[in-house]
Amino acid sequence: MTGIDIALYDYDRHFSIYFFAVSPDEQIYLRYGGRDARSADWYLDLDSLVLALEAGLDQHERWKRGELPKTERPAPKFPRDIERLRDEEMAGGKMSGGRCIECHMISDYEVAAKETAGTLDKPRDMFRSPEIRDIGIHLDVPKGLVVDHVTGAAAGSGMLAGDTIVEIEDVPVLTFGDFLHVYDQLDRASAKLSLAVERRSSPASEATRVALELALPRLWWVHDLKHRRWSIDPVIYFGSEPLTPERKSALGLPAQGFACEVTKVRSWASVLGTHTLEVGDVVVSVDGVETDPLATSCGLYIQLRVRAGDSVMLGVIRNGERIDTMLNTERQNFRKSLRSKIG
Amino acid sequence: MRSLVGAQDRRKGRFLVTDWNGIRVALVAFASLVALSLSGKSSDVIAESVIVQDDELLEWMDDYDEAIALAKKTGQPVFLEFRCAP
Repeated sequence: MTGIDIALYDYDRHFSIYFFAVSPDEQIYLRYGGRDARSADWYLDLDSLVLALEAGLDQHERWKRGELPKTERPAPKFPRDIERLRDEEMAGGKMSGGRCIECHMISDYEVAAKETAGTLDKPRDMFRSPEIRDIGIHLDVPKGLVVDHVTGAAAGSGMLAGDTIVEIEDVPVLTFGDFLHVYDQLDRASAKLSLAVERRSSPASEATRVALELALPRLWWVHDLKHRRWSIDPVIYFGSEPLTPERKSALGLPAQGFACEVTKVRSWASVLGTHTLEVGDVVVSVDGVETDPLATSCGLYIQLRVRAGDSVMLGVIRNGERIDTMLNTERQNFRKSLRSKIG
Repeated sequence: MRSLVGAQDRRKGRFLVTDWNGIRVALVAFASLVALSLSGKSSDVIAESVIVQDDELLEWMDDYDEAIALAKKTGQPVFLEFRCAP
């Protein structure tokens, strides 16, 4: 990756494999790749890869005829331009130990730099590549962008099984990789998503283009990050479930609050001294804050609002009594096998 | 669950390869777009069902700049793979 323009070849670097089809003058024809929380290869399929390659070759023919609009190339950026990555990893620095730089580390160092600069936007920078299933789009993966079935927001927009997605936010797309890349750029405050599909009344009929608008559900971008390794994602060593409205009411807690019940405590918590929470505890506040427009649970609040490695005071209800207890969050190392902190 | 596993032979004719952490580039010849077939989708390991015709027309390159230079010279598109082993 050393000499690769990572601005041009921008993709979610937590994907373990990713492809580009490119013109000789480095215009990107399409992308192939992407995953979701289920598995690294859920959207990878040889049939869809063949479709992608065929589409790439079609694009190349259009390029040769001068039919493709020339896209503006972003300002070049190379791994060496990320200061800490350069100094700590590429120059044989203290962390390298002769090991290779893992792809996700490029993203890790980039967002760590944003965190230092105060420009980090966790909904955008940490919750990368939101899940399309969460907005009701379920693809027939071997057929690329053909919809297998729809639920939720997608169903509400009028999308139908058998539709082929051809455009998202006015950007033409040929593959799931293309789609996810554009979807990932969407402002996390967006409440709507515009799509275009091609629809046939029968296999032999001509396709009709249909414009759709999805009403995005609240927090559409929140999804499971367990398959990612983010140094900016505070490690808290407990799991929790948000309280129901009824339970909040019974406890006299604000309806819009992010109170949650601890359902699991990891053994590392006592080993590392990160917290003394117990299963059944109800976390009602973090440093005195009980509500947040973006958080529906205490775990999400901590993910979004607490800097990894910082300590916060939790307001807790335990056996009917209110107590305060410290939570010392941890910062994950850039490498998966080491546990030393990087601040 | 479907998984993509490449064959041991990483050279000619195999689109999908493992055991190489980094970037790999291929020039795809128009004249012989490979025909990939799947023997079935029930198995996790489908490496053996990846059949590529005209192997000698697909050659992975390891140097991006060289590949782009060759693409410009020959007018061919580039298929670029980024792979990162966990």
